[in-house]
This record gives sequence, C-alpha cells and structure tokens, in this order.
Amino acid sequence: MSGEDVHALAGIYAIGALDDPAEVREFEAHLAHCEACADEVRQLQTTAAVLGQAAALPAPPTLRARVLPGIGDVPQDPATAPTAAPLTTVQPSGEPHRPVHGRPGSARRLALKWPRVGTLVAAACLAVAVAVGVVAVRDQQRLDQLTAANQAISAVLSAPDARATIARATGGGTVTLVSAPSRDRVVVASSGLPALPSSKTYQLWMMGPAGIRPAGLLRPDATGHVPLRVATVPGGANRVGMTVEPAGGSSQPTTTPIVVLPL
Amino acid sequence: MPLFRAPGPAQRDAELDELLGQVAQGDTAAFERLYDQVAGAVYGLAVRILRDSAQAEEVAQEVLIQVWRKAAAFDPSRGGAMTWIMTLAHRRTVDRVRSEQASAAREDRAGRQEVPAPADGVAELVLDRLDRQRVRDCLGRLTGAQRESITLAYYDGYTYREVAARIGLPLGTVKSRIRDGLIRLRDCLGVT
Repeated sequence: MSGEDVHALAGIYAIGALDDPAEVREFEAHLAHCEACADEVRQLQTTAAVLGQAAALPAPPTLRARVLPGIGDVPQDPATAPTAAPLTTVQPSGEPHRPVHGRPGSARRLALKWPRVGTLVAAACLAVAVAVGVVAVRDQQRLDQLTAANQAISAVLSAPDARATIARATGGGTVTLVSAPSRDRVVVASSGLPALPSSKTYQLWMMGPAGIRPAGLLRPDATGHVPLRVATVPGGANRVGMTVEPAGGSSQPTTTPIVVLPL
Repeated sequence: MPLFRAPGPAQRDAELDELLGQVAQGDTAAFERLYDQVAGAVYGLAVRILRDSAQAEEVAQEVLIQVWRKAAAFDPSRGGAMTWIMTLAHRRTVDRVRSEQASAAREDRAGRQEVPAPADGVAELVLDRLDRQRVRDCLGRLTGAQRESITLAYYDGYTYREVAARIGLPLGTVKSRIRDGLIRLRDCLGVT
C-alpha cells in the first residue's frame, strides 16, 4: 500500500468505518510512525465526536439507575494494559464444559468440591479463550472486556465458599449459578437453552423482598452457546431468575421465569 | 445540564479531562458528575444509530460502565475526554448495529441527513441549540456526496465498503470523500 493510500484511510478510520482488521492494523502501525497522521486522526476523531454530540438526547432516568448505584463495585482496568498481545496464538483447547444436570424443575444445591470448582474455572477460561479466539483479530477492546470478565469470573469461582446450584429450565437446557457469600457477584452458566428469534433475549433478574432488578441479557451465539455471565448481587436479593424478554431487555420481567435459583 | 458539548470553550473540556482523571482513581463522585455531562450524548448517539431506545439504553449502559473501567487508559495527548468517550460510544454502538439484531431498523431509515433534533418538549439550553445549529450549518457546507458518505458511515454505522455499495461509488472515492468532508467539517467547526 502506497503512502498516499494509507493517508486516505484517516477519514474512514476516524469515523469508525474501517472494519477490516488487517487494514486497521496496517493503519495503526503507520500511525505509530507518522506524527502528522496521528495528529490528523486526532482532529478528525474530535470532529466525529462533535457529530455524535449533536445527536444528544436527555438520558432516561432508568439509565442512571442502571449505571451509577453499583459502579463502585465494578473493577477498573490498570493504567498500563498490554496493547500488542499475540492474539492470534490464543487457541481454544481442552474438553468442552459438561454441565452437571440437576433434577428437572427443581434447584439443587451441590456440595461443591474443589476439583469441580477447578473444572468450572477451567470452563470459564475455556469460554474466554474461545471468545478471544473469535474476536482476536477484531477488537482489542473486546479482549480487555473479556479479560476483566475473566477476572471477575475467577474471583467468584475461586472463593473459598463458592457453591453451585443447578436447575433445569422450563423449555429445556440447564442453568448453573455459582455464588459465594464472600463475594457480591455470581456467575451464571447455561447449557442447551433453546435458540431464540432475534426479537427475543434471555434476561437475568436479581429477586428479593425489595423487588426485582435486571441483571443482564444473555444471547446465545449462532451455535447456541451462551457466554458465562457475571452479575452483581444487590443487597437483599435472595434469588436469581431468568426470563425470555423482547430484544434489548425489559426493566421488569414480562414473562414467567424459565428458572429461579436460590442465592 | 448541557446536552451537547462543543469543542470549546476549553475550560469545559479541561474540566471533563480532569473529571476523567479522577474517575481513573476510582472516584465515584467524579464519575457521577461525568455521567451528568456525557450520558445524554452517549445515549442520543446510540438512539440515532440503533433507532431503538431500549437497545440504545442497553448500549449506553455498557459504554458508561466501560468509561469507568477503562478511564486509566485515557490519554489526553491523543484527544479530549469527550472525544475519547464518544469514540468508545460510537464503536460500541456500531458493533451492535452491525450485528444482526438492529440492522433492519437501520435499513428502513438509512441515509437521512439531518442532524437529529431532541424530542418535543425537551427544554434545550440556548447554547445547546446554537451548537446543534452550527453542526447543521457545517454539514450543509459539504458537497452532497461528502455529506451522504459521512452520514451513512457515522450516523448509520455502515462500513466504507457498505457506503460505497449503497451509493455506487468506488472504494477509493468513498475514502477520499469521507476524509475531505471531515477535514472541511473540522475547519468549519474550528476543531484544533
């Protein structure tokens, strides 16, 4: 690619329209050595950001309620994250996670032994590794998110008081909840949940005497695999439920839960 | 609360940069003040791209939490805090619209060129209205092809290949129209 061609990419890069991973890498490599280009990209990104701000709308109060109350519990990334990890060498490996099936329709608490926690940790790492493999060439940010999610998952699964509860979901599939009284988060894993049309999503809920709060959406990928999900447990919650909701989720459940697990 | 932050005055930008620095130290009160200044822009851009307020709220939530998480990665030498936040917001929202779910709604209304107006009944600040008008004026000074390419790419989340296919221009032409248009916008808006 000639110098002129590389420079022509500044606009589409700044505006987020350059999506080919190889081209993004090539352009970013060029930016590292071209001060004038980096300066132009900075200015054009600032210009694009003004276009974005011109679309501002009053944020709904529910957004505030979804973001601010728990923010202090969200771990922050350290200042110096590695930026050029050899992503393409990450390969999924090992046995697929085989969930333990509980009795249909009832939640069953298992006396969780260490080897099983180890298995779950391995499953979590596998899930992250698979996910990393998928997105490796797409987006460093995704990797950062997955790394943070992996840390959060490990923090729950490696807690000395971790325990797993497994239940079969109405309509098929199983849902595993790993909780630890010493942690304010839980990990939710699922297996074999029915595929949903794009107009619907699975949604988690934290339920307790004080009410029901949304705890995140779960979207199976094309192969039916649902990523592990970490959810923060608000004070007073004593159960975790899952429902099927319209795409984008709901602020309160609109259907009967397909599974409810005790915390 | 201003809905829209222009590149100036520098004082406001410096304040936001400082807030983001405090957020990087785990300061939740600073994050709340930052939230009040940026949530409307993050949410509004997501609505504009996704055309779906429920999905937009979900994406805005993800973006704002990402701002908290990644605040330490903000590097003021590579642009202001607002630019950093809006770049995250755009990238994340575009990821969503390029996934299967939201693309149908985008298909319906793609290519509209107006700067979105706030919903009826929203009390706009005078400054906000002036800023929006300025963006509208500057977009109006682009050539039609520049404006169309930038609108499809930025406000509808199309890749430049998709933009080229939609408007029937070669890839190289789209690249240069977007770049030339952004440079013209930059100069019109006084971005430095």
